[in-house]
Amino acid sequence: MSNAPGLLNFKTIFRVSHATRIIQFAESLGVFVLLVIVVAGASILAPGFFTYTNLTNTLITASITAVTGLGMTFAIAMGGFDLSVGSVQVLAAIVAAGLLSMVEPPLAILGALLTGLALGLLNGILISKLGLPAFVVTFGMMSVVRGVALLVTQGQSVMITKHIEFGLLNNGKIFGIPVPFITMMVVFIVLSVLLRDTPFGRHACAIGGNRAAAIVSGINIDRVTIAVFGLVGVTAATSGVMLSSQLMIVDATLGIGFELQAITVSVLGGTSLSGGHGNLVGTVFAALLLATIASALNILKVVPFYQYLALGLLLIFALAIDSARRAFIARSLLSRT
Amino acid sequence: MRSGSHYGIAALGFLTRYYIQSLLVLSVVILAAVNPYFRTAANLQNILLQASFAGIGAAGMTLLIVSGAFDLSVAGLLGLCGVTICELLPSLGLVLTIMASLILGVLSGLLNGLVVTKLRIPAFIATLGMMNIYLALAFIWTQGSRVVSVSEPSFDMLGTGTWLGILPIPFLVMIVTYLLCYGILNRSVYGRHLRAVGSSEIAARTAGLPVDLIRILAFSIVGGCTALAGVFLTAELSSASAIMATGYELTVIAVVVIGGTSLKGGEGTLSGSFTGALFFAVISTALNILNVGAYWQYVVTGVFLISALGVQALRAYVLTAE
Amino acid sequence: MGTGQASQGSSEPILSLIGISKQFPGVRALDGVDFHLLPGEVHALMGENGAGKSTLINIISGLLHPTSGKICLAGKEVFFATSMQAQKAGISTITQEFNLVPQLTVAENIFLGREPTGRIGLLNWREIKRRASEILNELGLDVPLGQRVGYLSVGDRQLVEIAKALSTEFRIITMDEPTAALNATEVARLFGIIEKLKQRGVAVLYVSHRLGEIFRIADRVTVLRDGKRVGTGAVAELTENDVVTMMLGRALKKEAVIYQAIPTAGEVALSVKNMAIPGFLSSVSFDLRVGEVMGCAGLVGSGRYELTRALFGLLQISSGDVEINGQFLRLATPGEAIRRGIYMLPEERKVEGILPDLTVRENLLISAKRLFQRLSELLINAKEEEKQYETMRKSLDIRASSSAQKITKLSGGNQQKVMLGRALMSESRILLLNEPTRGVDVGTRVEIHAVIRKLAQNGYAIIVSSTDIPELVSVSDRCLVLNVGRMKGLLDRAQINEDNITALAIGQEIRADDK
Repeated sequence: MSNAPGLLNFKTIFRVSHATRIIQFAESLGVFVLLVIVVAGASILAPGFFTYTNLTNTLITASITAVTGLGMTFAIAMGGFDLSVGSVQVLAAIVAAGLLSMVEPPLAILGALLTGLALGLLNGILISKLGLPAFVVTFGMMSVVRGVALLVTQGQSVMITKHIEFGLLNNGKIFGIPVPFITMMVVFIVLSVLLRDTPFGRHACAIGGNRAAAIVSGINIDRVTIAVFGLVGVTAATSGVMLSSQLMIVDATLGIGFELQAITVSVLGGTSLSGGHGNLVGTVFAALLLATIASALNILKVVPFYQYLALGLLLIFALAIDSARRAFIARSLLSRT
Repeated sequence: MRSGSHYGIAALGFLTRYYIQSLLVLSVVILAAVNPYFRTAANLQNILLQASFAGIGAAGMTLLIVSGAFDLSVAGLLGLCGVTICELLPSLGLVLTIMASLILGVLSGLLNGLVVTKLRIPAFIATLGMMNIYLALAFIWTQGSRVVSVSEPSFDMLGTGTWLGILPIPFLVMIVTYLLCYGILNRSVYGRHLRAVGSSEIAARTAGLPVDLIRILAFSIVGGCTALAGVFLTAELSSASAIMATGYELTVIAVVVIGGTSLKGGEGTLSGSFTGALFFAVISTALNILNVGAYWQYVVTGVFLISALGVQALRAYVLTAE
Repeated sequence: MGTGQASQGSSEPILSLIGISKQFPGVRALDGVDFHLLPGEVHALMGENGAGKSTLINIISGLLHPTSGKICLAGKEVFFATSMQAQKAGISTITQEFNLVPQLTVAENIFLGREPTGRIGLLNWREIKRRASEILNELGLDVPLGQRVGYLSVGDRQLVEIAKALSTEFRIITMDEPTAALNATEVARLFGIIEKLKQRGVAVLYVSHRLGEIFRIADRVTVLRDGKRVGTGAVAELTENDVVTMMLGRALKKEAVIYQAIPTAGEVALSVKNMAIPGFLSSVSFDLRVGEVMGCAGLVGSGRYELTRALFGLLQISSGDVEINGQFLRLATPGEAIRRGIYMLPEERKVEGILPDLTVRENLLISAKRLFQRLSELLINAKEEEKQYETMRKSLDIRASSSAQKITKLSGGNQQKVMLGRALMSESRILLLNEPTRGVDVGTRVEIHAVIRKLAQNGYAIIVSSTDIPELVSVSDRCLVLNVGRMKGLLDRAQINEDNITALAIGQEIRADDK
């Protein structure tokens, strides 16, 4: 027993045992290493990949996915899911595009974000207050919101004609860095702080990790659930705004399958489906990975549908690794020491 | 005081237990009264036809949900089967093609089951990934959403033919499918095992049941039903594409849920799914007739799904109050 | 940190329970219990299963409300509507299931729900680390604050749980079987911490079965029996025998019991040699014979629970051999076990026994047919099944309105009979019965015991694994007693009595001349 005072100094506090260190390292760095390999491979095998234009586009695509992925990571850490993010994204994009013909860009963006917030909060309320299972509720909402988007646009495209400077959100650069990437970094920083440095974030992880313990600790499960789903809605709406800025013309068929991408980048990035922990850095890397693969395949003129295949296989692969990891942890926890 | 709430509970109990039948009857009555076209034989035939596509898929899905799992890949699988049929029909002929499609469906279901049980991935997210894979395969085969057509009279008959002048062949097959599934669920040992696994997987395991095998079989059944639905849908459209069945999984699950089968598993009602399929067909036909945009379909399906969940929650409350 | 104002030995109780009774439907768990806890003392609470210990603890921690009686905290009457209220009043509870989030770090778990924040609502990490390291230092727990709790050993996790308590202002801490999962070093460490708590004036309420530990750490001990307080005394003035006497209600007699003849036991049905399960059991060996009922006794943490589960394929054996009829077994699933002729009745009927959505008949027959065993048996033969149900219903006297009734509508006793019937319908001749009369009324209990004896006579080989010692005495031909993962004794018929079993289970030896 170490009773010496002052033994637990600053360095000791941050020390972790070897096994844990390796695992945590592997969790965040695994995707990064993969990313580096894929980027290197793409640069070699796909001529035209490592050009300024292409890298910028890849970065932009990754950023749009990453933003919602970060929100989804938060939800998965809490033990929940949101299958409606694709529909929310497209509705927000339509709202933004539509509002731009009437008001200034900042208001249009605000309108879109509020739409996402409202839908997210609705999800959260249905799930927590009515006790309905998360994935089925968001599954149903996915359809409802998509339908609303179709109704609002009547199947037509919405083109952004006024306030064309809105496109700067996508094309602009600050100090040479594409604005979408900056947007993503802002979301990343905000969510990181929320997840790691606020009671709210810790409570969300507690709910996902051990719901009973969270209840006993006096955490208000309903409130946290509603807030987290609201957060997911806002990130999905942000992606929608970015999307509308990128395309400058939106219609209600966009974003189908987006929820799959969001979940894939979360799990691939190291966030476990069992909840309790969210690897935001990993999500960003995974989004970059996905975008890189897509870009490389595009350049190599590989038929785009192989990308669907890759996405599906990647998800299954990531999930299989996650479940293997969970089984390993469960077995090692079962033994007494 | 007491009798008042007693009657209230009883009424609520009746409504929640028979709500889908009530809804169906109500909607038919109202629509028939309001719209003359609705009363025609052609309309009835159309409704029965439309009901069979989601209905056949819902039969298998009911069994799967009873076992406590879900399959979100059916839309992609249906597209894949449809495309397969169109590609193979010219060379293999009717019977062999249909068999090939069914085998494809069953094997895909088997694959889904293996991924869920052996890799231990939660069903709905595993099948979400598999959906993409099936879609992708269909896309690749058709080189991108290209619509493949067939013109084969005997095949078209499957979609357009009728018995007794009014009952579409797909609807007849749907009836047979439901009878079969009813037999499986309620009269076979396997059905009992399905319900056991859905009721309490832990207890089922402790009772010695081969839980993984039971699950894999259920997924295979869903795959088979999906392929069957694909045969008829392709026949009706005389064509197929990878995205021909977009939203299918939502409709099928909504049909099962609104039919009264609980998402928790352990018990299910095939007659409920049957009624639910009819109900959905009535609604979507109504939307078309009343010239309400097709886009309302999405909204309505989603709202119905969520409300059905709410009703189930209400029913659980009523059961404990009784 | 705990802040008991009075020093050890003060005579004013910090907690008083006066005339506390708790009535559950059909059973009176506590009956007029008076109990006083002094600040700075370690007060042990002992009693057999069902004596009321857990109920008392739950009332103190606010999880249950007393039916009558009052609770006084530091002289003032209090009422705890929720466990949170009890916590805020300064009562901390350490349960057997830790309320920790495995994915969060030590520091985060300690302050969960009570995190100190800075001005803009962000966590005040400096404060958290300062206070957490103080607490850990105090406990002598040398784990990094940034370590995820899930990776800690059970002993360390328990200390984190205690650290949680220490981060609040508390005056009373209750510990329920705290040493059940600890090794010797960890127990020593825990006791050191309890000593420190004593010095601060914290009152420790310590619930345990382990006599040896009680005598090491406790100042006073209160014994409950059948919901009543039988006695309280200073540990220094009592012997172990005194305490056991209070628990059982009479002096510990190690007399031979007059014994009735058993049928000559048959051949060996199940042979276990040096079976070990890491962390639970070390080297258990015995032979189970056809026609005999072997009891298996043991307290929490003795390995009793794990023994039958391992024999049924639910838990993996790391070493040792199990043989059936001379053939080696390597069981991976219960299905395999059933095929080899072993069937297990699970301990927790509600969780892993009944299939709640299925009918009585279905629950009864679920293990009877293997899937696809014979093609002719794909469909349910309702008539045949009704016959089988009737047979079982008569022989076990199952009270159900019909075979189609949902199993959840049956009483606990009848549900248990159905579970027993299920075991019989599986055609296995080796039965592992866990707590066969748990949650069952007295009448049914007697019936079930009679059935067990009759089965043995009819050629079954049965293990009855139970914490209900009188039950083991009623039905067993021989009795295996486990203690801390080891075989403490294998009693034959002449030696089976409550006292011997209790003594062995809590770790006492039975001396040869006591037999």
